[in-house]
Amino acid sequence: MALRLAIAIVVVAASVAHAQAPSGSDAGSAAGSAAGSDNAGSGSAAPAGFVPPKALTSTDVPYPSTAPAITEPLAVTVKLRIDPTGAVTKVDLVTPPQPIFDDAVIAAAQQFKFDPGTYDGKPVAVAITFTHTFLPAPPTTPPTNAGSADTGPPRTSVLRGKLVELGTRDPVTNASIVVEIAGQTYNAESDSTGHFRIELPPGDATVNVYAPAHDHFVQRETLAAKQEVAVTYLVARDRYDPYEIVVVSDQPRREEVSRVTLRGPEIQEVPGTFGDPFRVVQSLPGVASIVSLLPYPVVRGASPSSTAYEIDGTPVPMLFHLLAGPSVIHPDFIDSIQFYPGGAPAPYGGYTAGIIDGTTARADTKPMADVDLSLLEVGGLVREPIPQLDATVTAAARYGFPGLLLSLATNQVSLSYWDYQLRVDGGTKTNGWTLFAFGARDELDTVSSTADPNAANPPLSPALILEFHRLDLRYHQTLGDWETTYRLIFGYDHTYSDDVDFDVLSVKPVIHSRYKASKTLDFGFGADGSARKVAQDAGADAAANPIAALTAQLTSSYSAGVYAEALWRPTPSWLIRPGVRGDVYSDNTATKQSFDPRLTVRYKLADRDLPEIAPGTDDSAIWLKSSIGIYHQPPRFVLPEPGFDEMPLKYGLSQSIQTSLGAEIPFRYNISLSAEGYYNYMDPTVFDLSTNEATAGTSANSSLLPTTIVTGDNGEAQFVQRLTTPELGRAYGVELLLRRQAKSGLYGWISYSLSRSEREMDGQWVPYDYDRTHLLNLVAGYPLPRNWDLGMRAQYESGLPATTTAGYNAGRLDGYVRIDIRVDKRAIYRKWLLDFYVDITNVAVQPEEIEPGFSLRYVLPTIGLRGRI
Amino acid sequence: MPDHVIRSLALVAALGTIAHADKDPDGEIKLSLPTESDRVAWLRPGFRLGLGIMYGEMVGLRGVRNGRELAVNMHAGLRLDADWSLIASFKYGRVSAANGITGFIYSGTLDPTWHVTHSFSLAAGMGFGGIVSGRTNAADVEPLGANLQSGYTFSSSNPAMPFCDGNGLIGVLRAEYSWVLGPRSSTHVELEVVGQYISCQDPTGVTEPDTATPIVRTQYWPMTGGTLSWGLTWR
Repeated sequence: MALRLAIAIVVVAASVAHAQAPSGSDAGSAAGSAAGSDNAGSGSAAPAGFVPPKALTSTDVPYPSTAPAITEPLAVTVKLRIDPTGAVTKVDLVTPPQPIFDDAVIAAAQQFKFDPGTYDGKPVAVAITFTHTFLPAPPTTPPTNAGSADTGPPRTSVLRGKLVELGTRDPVTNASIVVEIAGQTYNAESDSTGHFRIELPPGDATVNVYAPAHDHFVQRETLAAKQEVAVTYLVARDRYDPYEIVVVSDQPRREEVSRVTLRGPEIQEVPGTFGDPFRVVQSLPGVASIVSLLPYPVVRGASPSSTAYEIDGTPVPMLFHLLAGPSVIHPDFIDSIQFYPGGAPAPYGGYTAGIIDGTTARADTKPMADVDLSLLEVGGLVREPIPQLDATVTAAARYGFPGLLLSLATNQVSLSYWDYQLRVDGGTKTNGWTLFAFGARDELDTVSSTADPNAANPPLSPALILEFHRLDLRYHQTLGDWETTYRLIFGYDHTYSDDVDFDVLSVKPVIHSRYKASKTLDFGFGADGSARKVAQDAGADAAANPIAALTAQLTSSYSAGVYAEALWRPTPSWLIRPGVRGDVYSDNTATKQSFDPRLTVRYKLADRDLPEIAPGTDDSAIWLKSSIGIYHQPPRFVLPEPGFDEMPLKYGLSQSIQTSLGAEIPFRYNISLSAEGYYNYMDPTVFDLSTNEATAGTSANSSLLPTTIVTGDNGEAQFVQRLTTPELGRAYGVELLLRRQAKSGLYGWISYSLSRSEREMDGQWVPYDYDRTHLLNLVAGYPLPRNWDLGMRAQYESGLPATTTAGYNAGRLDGYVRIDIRVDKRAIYRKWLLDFYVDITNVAVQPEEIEPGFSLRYVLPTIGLRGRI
Repeated sequence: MPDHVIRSLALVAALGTIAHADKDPDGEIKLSLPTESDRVAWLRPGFRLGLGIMYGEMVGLRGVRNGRELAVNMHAGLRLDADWSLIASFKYGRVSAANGITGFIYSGTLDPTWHVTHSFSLAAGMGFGGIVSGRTNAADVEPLGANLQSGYTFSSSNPAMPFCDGNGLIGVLRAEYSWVLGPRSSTHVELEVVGQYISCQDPTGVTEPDTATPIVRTQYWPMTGGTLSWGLTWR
């Protein structure tokens, strides 16, 4: 019943526990890092060190002479692409068609000149939103008094002040201020700092402000003769979109075959993920799950322990809090998610399947603070620059208390967790340093073994404690064409379970270096190592506990790895990335070596002329792509826990040979299609997660662990033997990803995988326990006026194999469908923003058969609030 | 949660507020006056989100037992024009009764809504609905699950199984009266009548060894009911 109990806890706890803050950074403000110049150009976060473009010419648009008169302000919004010289290279209409007015705005916008947007002082191409509001003709017949030639009453009063954007405090520039007094109108325009000054006759004035991309503003003022009235008007934007300014690389480069990069709303507003960037990966091609709620992905048919969760390229021992909990890193630290279902380049070692790498960004220098609050957790994040140190400090913490809600349902179980992050960024992006400390602790309490079985409120004691801490010190140096990053990572991991204590102290030095030999050739070099000291509680009884038996001999382990690779573009059509990696692993049970050559090749088949994409870039081309490589990993436990991850090396290394072949095709409207076939051969794989009965029975196995660990006369030996016996495996399939990236309007993707994962058993290939033939995901998000955002995710996964009288995994459980929806609303107040969201996971309460004869039905409605200054 | 942790977080948030306060030397800070009346604003097309709580009675028909329900609901949809909206409604809650059904209930419907006046509207919707782990204290009915070698479907809901886990069709009629609170929010009360037909399943936990197909008993439950709810809506 362990699994059922766990799932019951998941359902109850997660229903309120994950009201995690949705997306978000200040509207239009810089956040995150530059869209990588080496990826699909999918960046959608304003980066650190980013300065938006400023208009050098007037951005006024004349009222079209052929247009009919209007009685209300009419807004036209366009998306401008501004190149590094400040020229507008592309104008896309955003608002619904209003032909004459659209034409006028587009024609005018094409003539605008800007001081280009910059990133760390370097001009970059940027896409911004521009709105022009056409005003109705003045309501009175007297001529407009805008200049010094004044025929009206003497203007002895002054109205001056500043236009400030509500919520963000940014100045509102180039706005029209129209003042009406006694039937006459007077005009002014705000300058580049948002200031304005207008001389007026005394009297009661109605002040209207019309600003591009902002709501109509109205205020009343009373002006006495010879009086100067100073005001600050807070003008609301028509939409507060934290991802609106998009830095787009001039020449985005594609270097890997299978990488998918997610940014902006793609990682924080996908329904069913609780705003958690890492959970989004479970909607991508090739990613199945053992149970839909649990964050243990089965990537291309490999056991979950073969896929790495990493932060900036370094594995973390526990990325999620227990059960369906949120990730242990505040979402605002994550700039993008790099997902490699296979074909990861040489810098990544130690895993034989996928890589899920959350990349962080150097902190923006803009101060901010936010607070998250829900019924079951509270947290916050503060960012503050320290000029004396030329550094920026970012700190976040969260405390979760789902035990409070659990106590409403049962007094047998309780759960709590906390996590923290402290980051200090100093220097510059090219020559800077970072201190990043983070950690987390989860505690699951159950009824104490000494409790009276008839007690109404039995005492609880810890049944599972997971804890880890990391201190990551980095220095990044740029010398000419060399870029080098030095890292030293200290760690402490702790797992307590069933009277077994594991404490692991570790240190991990890392060096990555990149040398730009020419415009067509880059070299990458690196080395990393680790030393781990394992302390297993002396009270552990290896004879009675099969898990302790696995690791009883383990006291220390070491590893060292080096890699070298090249990124060579011999012609504009070819990109060749050969690499090689060598690792040595050693502990007190064995020493093992591995040698991993890898090769990625891309060929540009043709350039497409697409209006939304700059010609000649990697984004505008049809690519053929292929990869082949060898990957090794030390034996890892079936589901990783802090410290309880790497198993003794005497069980041998796992190895996979990964191959893939595919194509990428861009289409209009920022839609792209990626199709990829793959074949992975696992020789051998050890510690595969395996739960199915060896022979057909009439009762269900109610545990995630093999039956032999639950029952049987010789459970320990059978358990150890089953996990540690090397197996042969293979996985193959086709993956499709049709995607529209989030620059404006609709974003999302449709992913489909047709796959098969098998293990050899008695000379026959049989389906792997977590093989799912069909994986289909639809993810869509759409921004609406008044700061609403809608999101939807639909997921179908084929049923898992099941053992029948016809043989091991000869049958299949039912597949399942899950639909998640999400609504986000952003409310703007004088100096702060309030985000509110409703996220319903499995809205139709569809069943998921997780083992023969047992289906799970759940729904997770969550509500989240987040205030941001 | 330890008090010192709470205090620390509050302090951090407060410091952030203080750090970023400014004096606004350019003069008095002012927000915009309303550019239109709240009532007019609520007539405009756009997205609406409503959350509420509801209380009511589920009435079993043809041998099915009753239950009292307490639920939360959500309306999300578009105001199309002054007269019409298209709303998706979701309800999740608990049904319980001493001699009736106890379990988790849910529904989701798509409701075209006619705004008869500025404040009063009528809606009719269709969708899905069901019960999770619905139980009664009634005696079990033949054939018992333990005796089955394969799935079994009852021809009638009378006598009803003591357990129901399943979903089916649901129809809703709703009358709503709302009050505008401001440009962004309104409050409402709703009276709702529902009818539903649920395919109840009682799994035995055992599978057919030849196919791994779960062995379940199936019975169709007709039910009706009514609820009263109160909630808030945002635009």
